[in-house]
Amino acid sequence: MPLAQLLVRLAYRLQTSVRYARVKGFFHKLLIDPRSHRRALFDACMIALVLTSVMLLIYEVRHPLGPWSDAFEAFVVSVFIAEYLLRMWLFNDSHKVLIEHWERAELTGLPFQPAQALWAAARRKLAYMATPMAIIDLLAILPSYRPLRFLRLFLLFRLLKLLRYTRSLNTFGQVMVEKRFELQTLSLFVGSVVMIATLAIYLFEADAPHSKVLTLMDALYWAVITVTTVGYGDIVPVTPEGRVVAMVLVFAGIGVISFATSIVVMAFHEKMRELHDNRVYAAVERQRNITLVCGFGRIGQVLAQRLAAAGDAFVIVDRQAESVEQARRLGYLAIAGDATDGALLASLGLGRQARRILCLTHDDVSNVYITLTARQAAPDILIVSRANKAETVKKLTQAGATHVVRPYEVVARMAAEFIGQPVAFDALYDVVTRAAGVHLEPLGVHAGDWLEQQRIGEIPFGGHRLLLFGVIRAQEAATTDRQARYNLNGRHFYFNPGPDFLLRAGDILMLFGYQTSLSLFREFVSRGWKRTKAKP
Amino acid sequence: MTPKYALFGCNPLAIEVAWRLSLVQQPFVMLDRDPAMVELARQEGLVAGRIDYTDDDALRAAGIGSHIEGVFCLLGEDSENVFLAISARALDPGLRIVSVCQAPEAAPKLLAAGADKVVDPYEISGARVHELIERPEVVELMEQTVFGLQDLNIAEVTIPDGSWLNGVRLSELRRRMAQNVLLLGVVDLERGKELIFSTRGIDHNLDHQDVLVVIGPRGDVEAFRTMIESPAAPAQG
Repeated sequence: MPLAQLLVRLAYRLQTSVRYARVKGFFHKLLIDPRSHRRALFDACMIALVLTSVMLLIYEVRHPLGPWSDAFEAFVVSVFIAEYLLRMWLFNDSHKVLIEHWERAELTGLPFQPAQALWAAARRKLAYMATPMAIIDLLAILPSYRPLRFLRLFLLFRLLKLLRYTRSLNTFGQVMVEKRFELQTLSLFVGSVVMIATLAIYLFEADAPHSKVLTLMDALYWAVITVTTVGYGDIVPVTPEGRVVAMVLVFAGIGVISFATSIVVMAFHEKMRELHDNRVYAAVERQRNITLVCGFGRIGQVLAQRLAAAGDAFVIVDRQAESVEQARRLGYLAIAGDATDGALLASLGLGRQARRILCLTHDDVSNVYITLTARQAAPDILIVSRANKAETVKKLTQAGATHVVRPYEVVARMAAEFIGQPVAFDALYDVVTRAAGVHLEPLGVHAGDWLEQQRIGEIPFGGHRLLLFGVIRAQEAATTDRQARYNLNGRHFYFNPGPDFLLRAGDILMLFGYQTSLSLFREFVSRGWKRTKAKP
Repeated sequence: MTPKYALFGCNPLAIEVAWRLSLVQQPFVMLDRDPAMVELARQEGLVAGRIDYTDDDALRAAGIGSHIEGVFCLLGEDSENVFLAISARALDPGLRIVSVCQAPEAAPKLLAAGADKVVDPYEISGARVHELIERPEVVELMEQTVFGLQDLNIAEVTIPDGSWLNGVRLSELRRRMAQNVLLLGVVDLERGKELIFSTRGIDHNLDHQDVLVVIGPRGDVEAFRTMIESPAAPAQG
């Protein structure tokens, strides 16, 4: 069976082809992915296209436009057709259906029937064609086919296409679908009320003198106009019985309207959160690297403030709706949800563009869980976790936290140090928090740098108004003797090294100084590099 | 040993502070109004007692105004800490008072009530997390050395009356400094009470009661202190 073999081979090739997957991924992003930036652009273009084509159509009714408009119409239709076909293509993977059939045939030992497999694939596509959105798409295209020109009216269906491109309209449709049960109840109620009212008014008024209700149609029209509280007044009941029907119907009408309003309002209210969240997801998706802040308590607030000031992108996750509300008021991206939920973190970019995750909830158990989830999803992400109890520190480190912060410890240290030596401690604290303008900053020595092979005594730190705190160097054979040396997680810190200390590539200088002095010194170092380069 | 410091509140934070103080071997006593909390602290092996801090006599009996040099207001409510700070300050104007605050609005109130230093736990922790992600090397360095248990300390040395440094220029001191210490800054009383970092490059005229802030290993810092306090200038090194 060469045809069957050909089909299966093609299916497998598509399955393994990177390019095919890439192309499909591209179109998926363009047409379907609700969070992609490209889709938003595409939607905007399509909206413009639909509106222009419908406007031209309406204009053309009275003013013939000639070949240009025909060409435009042809363009629009071809875009629509291309879109229709692309969507059908994207709906599912036909080659997967084929492969599935083939494998099943292999497994059971029955002969592979290509016709059946193809029919199964086609059935899926037909299922797509039967979806409401696909039908609307088709209706927007069909009337342009000449023999069907009489369907011109249906070109207005193109306006329905707008539903596809505007997410808020989409939401409206979704709301209607979700509230199906309530709406059904309501329409049943309205239907029976209208029917009873129609029959009643017809019974009472049809042969009364001066009555305007002559037919059942008149009665139905009157009932609908009255129940909706529109009340044109062109038909009014003239008998006392008819008026009683009218009065009852008016009250029923008020009930119906308030019920309908409440259903829609409530549904939208429920949807509101989701809409907000979608906006946040879209914004997160646009960032190249982002920090996830789990927990928006006081610590989270301070942190968010600092991140915002530094211009870093971040998104807040908190379980409490009020906290999220507060964060949004401050203009931060925030999602209400449980940060221990891996799926939520994943849709916020964990494992993709999220570079850091900060677990700052009040609950140590949650922090450990988030840390573990994050570490598993993204092995190289930076995780900072808060530990409220001393015992948790170890667990957090085990779970994969890069750094652990224990608020009580930090505070206790500050308070205890302050009592002993307030001036010194304030000074150090100012340096660490950069409050006083003096910073402690690292400066790396790179291979080929001017600083490399330079002796400390030959570097004009004093002239640049800098104070060398020390040098951090990777741990290796202790070459420098008498220097005061401290252990630093596998590296050595040489405090206040003497003038003979020789710098090497990979060293990090720790310098005290004002921001301007530090940047001037950096510039000096790079110029120094050029100087030595130019000499030989 | 008579306690030098009084810790008000026996909550986990206070226990943490107590642990810090016992590390540097400072005698202290923990006080709380709630017997259950006092019991909690005692179970941790700490010296704790019950006190009604709204009663001035009880505060006096606890040693405020006599042997207590510093008070930590670590109670759970800002209002309690304000009350305590006011009472303690009234009893002893020279007392050193450190307080925590829960709400940021409480910080100025606590300062007005007489606290020397207000520590906002959330502010500090938030700032720390930010530093950790922005400049991990710096935080790690500080953690491991100055704040940690390794022998690198920050210290302040007040120039006593009768020191040779009285009227000496900073550059002169630098020339004669033989110890392995870094001079981070000076509180020059002629210029105010703020610390002036030595990177400003000012050649201060040192007087008694000026404060020098230095970093270095304990031995060197002690040697530096002795040198400062001696009436005679050391030989030029």
